[in-house]
Amino acid sequence: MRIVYLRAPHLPVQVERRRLGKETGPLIVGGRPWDSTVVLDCCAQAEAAGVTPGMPLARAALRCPEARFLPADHAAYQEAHEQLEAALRQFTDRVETEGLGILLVETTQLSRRFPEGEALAKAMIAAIHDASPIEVKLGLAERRYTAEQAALAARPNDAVIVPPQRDRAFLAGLPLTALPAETEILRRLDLLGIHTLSGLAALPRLALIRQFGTQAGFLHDLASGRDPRPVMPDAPPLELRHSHALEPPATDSALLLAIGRRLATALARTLQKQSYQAQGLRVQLTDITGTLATTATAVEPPTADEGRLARRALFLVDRLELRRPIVEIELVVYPLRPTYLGATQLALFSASPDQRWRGLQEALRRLRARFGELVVMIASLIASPSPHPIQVTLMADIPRTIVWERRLYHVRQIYEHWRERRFWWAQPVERDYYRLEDATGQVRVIYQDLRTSSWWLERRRL
Amino acid sequence: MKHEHEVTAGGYVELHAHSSHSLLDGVAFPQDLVARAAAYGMPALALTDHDGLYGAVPFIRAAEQAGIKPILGAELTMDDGAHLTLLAETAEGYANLAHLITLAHLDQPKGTALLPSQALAGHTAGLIALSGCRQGVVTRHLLAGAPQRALEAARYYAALFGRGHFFIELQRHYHPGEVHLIRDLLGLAESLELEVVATGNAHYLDPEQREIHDVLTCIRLHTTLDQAGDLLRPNDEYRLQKPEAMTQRFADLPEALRNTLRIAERCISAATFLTGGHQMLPIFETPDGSSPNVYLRHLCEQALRERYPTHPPRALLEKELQIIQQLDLANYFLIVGDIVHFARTQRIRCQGRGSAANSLVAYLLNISPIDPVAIDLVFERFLAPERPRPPDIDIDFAADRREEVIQYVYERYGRDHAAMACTLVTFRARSAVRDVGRALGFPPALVERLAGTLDTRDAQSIHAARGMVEAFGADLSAAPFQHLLRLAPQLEGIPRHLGIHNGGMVLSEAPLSTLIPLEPATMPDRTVVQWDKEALEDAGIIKVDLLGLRMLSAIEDAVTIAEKLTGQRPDLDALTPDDPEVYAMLCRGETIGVFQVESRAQASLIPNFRPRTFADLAIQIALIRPGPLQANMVRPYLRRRQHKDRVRFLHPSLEPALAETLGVIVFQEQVLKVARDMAGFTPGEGEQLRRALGNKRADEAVAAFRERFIQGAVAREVPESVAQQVFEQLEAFGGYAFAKSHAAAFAVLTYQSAWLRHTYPAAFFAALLRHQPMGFYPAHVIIAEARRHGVEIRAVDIHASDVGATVENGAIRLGLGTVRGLGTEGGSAIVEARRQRPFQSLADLCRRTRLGRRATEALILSGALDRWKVPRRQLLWELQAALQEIKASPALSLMPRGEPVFAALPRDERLWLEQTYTGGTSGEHLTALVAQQLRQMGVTATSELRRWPNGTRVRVGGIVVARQRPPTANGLAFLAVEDEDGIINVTLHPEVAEVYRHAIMARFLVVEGEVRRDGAAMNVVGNRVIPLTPH
Repeated sequence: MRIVYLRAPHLPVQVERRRLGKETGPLIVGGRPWDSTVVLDCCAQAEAAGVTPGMPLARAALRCPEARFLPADHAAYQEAHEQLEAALRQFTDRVETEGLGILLVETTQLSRRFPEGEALAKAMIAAIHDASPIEVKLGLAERRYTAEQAALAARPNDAVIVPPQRDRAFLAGLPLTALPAETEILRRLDLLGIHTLSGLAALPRLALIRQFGTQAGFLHDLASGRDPRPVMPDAPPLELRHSHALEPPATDSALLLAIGRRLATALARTLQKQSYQAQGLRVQLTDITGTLATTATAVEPPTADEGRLARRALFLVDRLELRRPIVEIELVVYPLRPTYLGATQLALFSASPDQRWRGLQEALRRLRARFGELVVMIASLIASPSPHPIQVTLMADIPRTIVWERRLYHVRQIYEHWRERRFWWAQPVERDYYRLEDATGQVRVIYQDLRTSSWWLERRRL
Repeated sequence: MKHEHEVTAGGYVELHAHSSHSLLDGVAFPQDLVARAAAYGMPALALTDHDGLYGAVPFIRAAEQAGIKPILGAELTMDDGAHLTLLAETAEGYANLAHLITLAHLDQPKGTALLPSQALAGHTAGLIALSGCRQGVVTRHLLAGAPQRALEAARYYAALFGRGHFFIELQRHYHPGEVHLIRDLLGLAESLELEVVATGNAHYLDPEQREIHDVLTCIRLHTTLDQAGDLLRPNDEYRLQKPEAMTQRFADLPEALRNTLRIAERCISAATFLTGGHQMLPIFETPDGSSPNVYLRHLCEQALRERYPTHPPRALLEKELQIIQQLDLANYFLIVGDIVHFARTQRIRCQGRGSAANSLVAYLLNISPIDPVAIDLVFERFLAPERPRPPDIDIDFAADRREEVIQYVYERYGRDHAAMACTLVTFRARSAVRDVGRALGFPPALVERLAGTLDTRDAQSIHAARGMVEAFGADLSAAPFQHLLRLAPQLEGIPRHLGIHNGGMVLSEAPLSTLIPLEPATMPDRTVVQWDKEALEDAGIIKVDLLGLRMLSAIEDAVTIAEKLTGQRPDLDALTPDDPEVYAMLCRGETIGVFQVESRAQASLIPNFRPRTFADLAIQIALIRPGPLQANMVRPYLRRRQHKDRVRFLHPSLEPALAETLGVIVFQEQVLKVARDMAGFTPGEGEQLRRALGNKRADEAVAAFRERFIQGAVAREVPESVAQQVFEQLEAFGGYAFAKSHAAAFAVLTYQSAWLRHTYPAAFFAALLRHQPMGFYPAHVIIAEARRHGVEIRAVDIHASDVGATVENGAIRLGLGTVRGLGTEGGSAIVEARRQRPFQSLADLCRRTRLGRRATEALILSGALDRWKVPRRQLLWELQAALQEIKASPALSLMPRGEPVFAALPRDERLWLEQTYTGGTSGEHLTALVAQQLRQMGVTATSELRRWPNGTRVRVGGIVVARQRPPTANGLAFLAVEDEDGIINVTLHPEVAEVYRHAIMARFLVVEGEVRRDGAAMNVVGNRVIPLTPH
């Protein structure tokens, strides 16, 4: 087996650099320094300053204050990744996505077309170059881990090819930190004077497991060039199915309905466990002649609810005509989508007003139960009326008349006077307020904006 | 007769004012509040800080100076969070106020005070209560729409404080709704027949200071200005208002204004609460029931006969006793003497320092080790009838046992009668930038960077900081950055929170809480008074400083070890400081570990200084201090001492003061003497001059003294130019310097430690190692020094080591406590387990000590298990099985098979691990790691250097044991580089230090440069630095 490991180093940074169009100094992607999130990616300069992905942005800013911080644009990075994937799929469909900008290709099927590793690597780099301007590194080896390390060692848009049977030799000189090991294991190995993969590989595997636990066995395998992990091609669209064989064959619709309910319930539970929702449901009945009767329905909104799926299943089973005894009944849910995509929200807004109200109440109840009473604040969408400019005449610094919309109002009485001096650090507010009664008997609130010396009628109710 | 502060002026007196001592809820310093009130013509002012009297003393002193009546009060926080303003009407009221504040802090977390409302009962006499601000209970109920509850609360307080002692407080700050509130408060007062009083609830002086107050509020509430919302006050009306403004504001309520004057008149001046001080001490119970004066005389007479068998200085004793009696301080001396007596009976090594060493009585009571007669000290420097300040006795105790002494004092005088002094931790430049930045909403990462780099007074620093801020976002670099630059300096000096003084203890006969409020300290079993050292001094309250000194612990251990080795306990107190061999050792520069003279600077000085007597030691110690250094007095002194220059005085009148130090100023006292002899200053004026010279912000005061000095000198027929020259010398000397008595007290320890080093080197170095970190050098330098002087060093060994270093057969055995991560607890566990039977194996060690993985790893890697002759890494591998064996029963554990075999560590790695895990190496010197590189580079060993003449170009190298770039050295950098033979001092000129600023941070390095000889001292002036990396 030959494996290609493709790595687009700092894919988000590459995408952002392309977008910025020119050299912009150190770049850190993930958010602004004061955001409470972490670094998604950073350029080599920032890395040299001690910034690492996963580090809180605030700490990253401390280590590399001159860096430019950008919020993450996940959709753009995903698109760039998909371009790389599409380029590789031109060669084979045995492509696995390990992470953003990291792809593995199982190339055994390509050995006739590309007997030499170099040719394959060149062709792949050329295909990627045609599809995307993203810089990549390739590693080609017999084992997954070796291919990964080879890719790490490669220069940009180049490949490192590990000859067959040479995986262990290639890995020998690498430091232990190249292993995906816990820091405690690395620390103890360092104390024991074991600093390279060859040193680790030289230790007895069982002794290592006794010393460090089962993880050490896997590490030993990696260090010895015996990575057991195959390339797992990315799965096609998911579906789940459950079936039941009837012995003896049955024609009793009540029995079929009961079995259909049970299968639907089981499917719903599996969906819930795997955090999926069904967007469609299909029922297949096979009779004693082998004839297949199929019916299907969309599930809208998508759900993993036992009751809803069971009701849909019963509806479908009931709809099928039973001409001969049935030997097998099968329920299939397809396509599936992750629960997080917000089916609940859809349900809330596509339901009837009554259901919507109940749904909203339930959603609020759950939020409060989980995060506390104060988490929900009811927002008012109605803006307070803005103040209206007026003219005011004063006597001994006290308002005496108001002119508003060309009408003159005499001040009959001033009830109250107060001062506001706020927000000096942002947009200073300096106002002198009066609550007064005019000659018409209306109580009004007016204020003078001391920064502009203008007078305003406050329209809000106090 | 009219009282000095009688309130006769019309208008208004502010009875509710917060100073900066309201800890993050006040801006103005108490002195500034007073100055403003005086400027406004107020006849009195009340200080009502939150839950404390932290600012009472500066407030009272400032008011006395300004000629207005100081009224003390506080705004107490009740257990329901409501505020209550209390004013001390009488002395009894003050005692109650202090006690209530103490109760409010009792059992509360640091910085919090909540007074249980039932605690007020029985403590209201002599107090006038005002209903409080918008946080007052009455106002709060009214604002919450509960007038009935407001009425009940007011009725409750009126009954509690009594008629005429509870007022409804009215404040007008132009809040919305204030009209209704005042209306309701007036109605309530009328229905209960209570009187009303107007107050301003001042938190600052000027409208602009409202910004600082907002920032302080954010700091206090851990929020930002944007998030603070209604936690900030809506306007800038919370300032100290002019009486005219208040008269206008309360024109409709003249009674409320008149009552401010009436209350101010009723309250007695708070200055009367600051009693003389020393009389508050507990009465020392003499064994025979005699008076303190009689008993003190008895003790002194007894000691006089013992200490001075011939020619007792009786006249001096009589004089001292007379002054002590006159100042009523016999009790104080007996209390301090008792503390010292306790320490000595418990074998806790101690000795007095500071000016107390001027006293014969202190010497006779064993408080001070200095015979003031022998070295001609002046008692008046410590105690004089005309001195305004109380005496201050500082005592050093062995650091590891000081807590026993503190707890003895608590036990002996009762926890209600003893407490530590506090320190008011104020905003400094860095903390101000950090806190203002946070309040302005700067990102934490930016705040940290700015706090580390921004100097708001330096344009270059501001420019750099602006760039930093811009990098974080353009929206911060304009207004917010300007706010930061403007506000941060204004915060500097404002108290931020309370700390605990290093060792100052206050004692009192009456419960202390009735004199000064107490608070629990963060340390368990400690309480602090709310006044800091300066306030206590200013109030005339005596404290005893119980300080910890590690050298005393080391000396005690050295004596104990020497006793074990020889069977005879060296009596250091009986030593006469005149052993020529001890001085010869010091003159050879063998000073590592010797108290006060081991530093790089002292070690460079000593070969030329060549101390021969105890007095020389005191001068040598005092010379390397900022005062003499900044005044460039070290070199002139040395040249005169070496007879290279003639001893000369700028004027004959200086000779009496400066003769003992060859015409240069070395000791603090000499400033006073020069001012006295040349310009006719009184001792008190001289002291003020000395303090002003030491205060960098006292330019005006110094200028006044300059004038006074020159006039005084000229009046005594000193030429003006000479007087000016002398004053300039005094100014240059202005930095920190030692008093002669203090230097002498330290010189005792210098001699004792030098004597121990010379006589019992193994015991001495072992004792030093037991108390690391201490002194100038790290442990490995002490180990190397011991080795150079023929003391064998043995590695840490679980089979032989004690917790601390010990001496076995003349060799030092390093202690388990030095093993990184093991600590005293782990070391004790090993020693305890070993006492039962020796350890048989690693598993046995793990089982019986229950040490964790990390601690056991450290033991293995340090070589503490080497006696088993199993390679260290083999033991590390076996550790896993040993630790598992503790968890699982042996029957269940698998017998390991096919285990790897590890070889012994190479020498270099062993050496490095030992250094890493114990801080020192027992066998070879650490430079062995780079020995080959040093040889290849042609490095000259330090022992060879002395053969080379001045100006020879050499290469020196080894491990860097000290790096210094003192601010007084004009950019010079100093390194101390050690090899196997010794230490050489390296000087780098500023340009060289700048070029090699990274290289000099290396642990091992080679310096290329020139040999520079200065008399017997030698150093290398480097022009190239090459960092080395051990292979």
